[in-house]
Amino acid sequence: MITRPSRNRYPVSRLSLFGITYSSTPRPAMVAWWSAAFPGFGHFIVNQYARGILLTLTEIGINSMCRLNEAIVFTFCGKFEDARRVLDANLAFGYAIVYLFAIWDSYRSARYQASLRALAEYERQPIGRMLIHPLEIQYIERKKPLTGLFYSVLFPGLGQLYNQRFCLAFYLMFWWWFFIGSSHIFAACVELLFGSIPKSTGILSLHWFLFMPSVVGGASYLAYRGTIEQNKLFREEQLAYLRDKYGQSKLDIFAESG
Amino acid sequence: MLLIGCFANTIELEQALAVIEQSGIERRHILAVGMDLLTEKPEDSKKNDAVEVGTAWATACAVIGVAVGFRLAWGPIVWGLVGAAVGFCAGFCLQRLIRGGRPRPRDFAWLPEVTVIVQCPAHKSDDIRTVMYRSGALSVGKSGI
Repeated sequence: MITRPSRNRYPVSRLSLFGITYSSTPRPAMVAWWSAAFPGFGHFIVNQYARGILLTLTEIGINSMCRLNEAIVFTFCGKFEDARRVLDANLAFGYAIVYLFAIWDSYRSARYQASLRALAEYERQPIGRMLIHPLEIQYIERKKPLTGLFYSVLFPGLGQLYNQRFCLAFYLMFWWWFFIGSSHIFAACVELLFGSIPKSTGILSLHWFLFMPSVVGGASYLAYRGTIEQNKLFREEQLAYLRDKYGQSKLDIFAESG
Repeated sequence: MLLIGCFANTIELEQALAVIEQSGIERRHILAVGMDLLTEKPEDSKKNDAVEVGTAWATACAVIGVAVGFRLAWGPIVWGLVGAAVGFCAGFCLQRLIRGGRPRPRDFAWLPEVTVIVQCPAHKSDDIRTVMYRSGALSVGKSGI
């Protein structure tokens, strides 16, 4: 007879000051794509926040130093000579290695975490419901995925705040403020609406503007996925609770209702 | 008599059960059964939902739109937005129509995920029915007189 393992070999989730951390179950190919869009975001999806933050800092720092975004824009515009001239090849080599590693590593982690989660479900590991910390109160709540998506499209970071991961939320919001400021997007939009298009393009800082689509896309996916994962935890926890508390009732259905 | 209610997995469901117990119904006269939804087949869980694919395509097309837009007449902002919109629609439709994915995970909609059966004396049944409806029961049925 198989007995239920008593040790916590594969815990599912943990509540902390920073929010809920769990072994996640996204599609590995999706995780790889978000790492390709912005190194670090793939790791955020699989709940590896510390290395995700360090990878995003590396991305922004090295990209800025080797002027990769300028080279990308020149390449897409067919100005290959300009791209070659502007790119610092020294740093670009190292950048490429770290970039490809981040894609591979997040993909691998997503696959492995799926196995960990399946084992945890087999072990019927308990899922924590709420935590009261002197600075915060954290709990699992049923949420709407499209609401998370909507808020991070509106302003990256808000969807993370909706998911109660407040430190990551303010990290993303800080960068979004920074990108808004240094890309001059607001002035460029005003010029676009009321002035001339070439002038608007001239105002825009190419380098900082090219970060923005990936950040808003990554943050929205992250928020959307986070709500789905939390809902899954909520449901699993509640079903286990109901099974324990109201699962062995002695109801005499047919005698009573017939 | 028996009252049968269908609920989604919500916090209100737990509140309802607590209120029903407090109203004097014994725990052994309450049964709650988690229902497996039809969509939770393994082959379904391997599919992305269409919103996920749409977001991925939107980002890819927005980046390309911005990059190419620096050379095109309408500029990078317009082309970035066009890229995001076209990319989202393309990814969403491709996943939904061609690959047969769901538009979004089923947990967005409220579905009958838990069935609650309560055995109670006839004079209490109306009260308990009200409690169930007020706590977001999707449907409540009554059996026996």
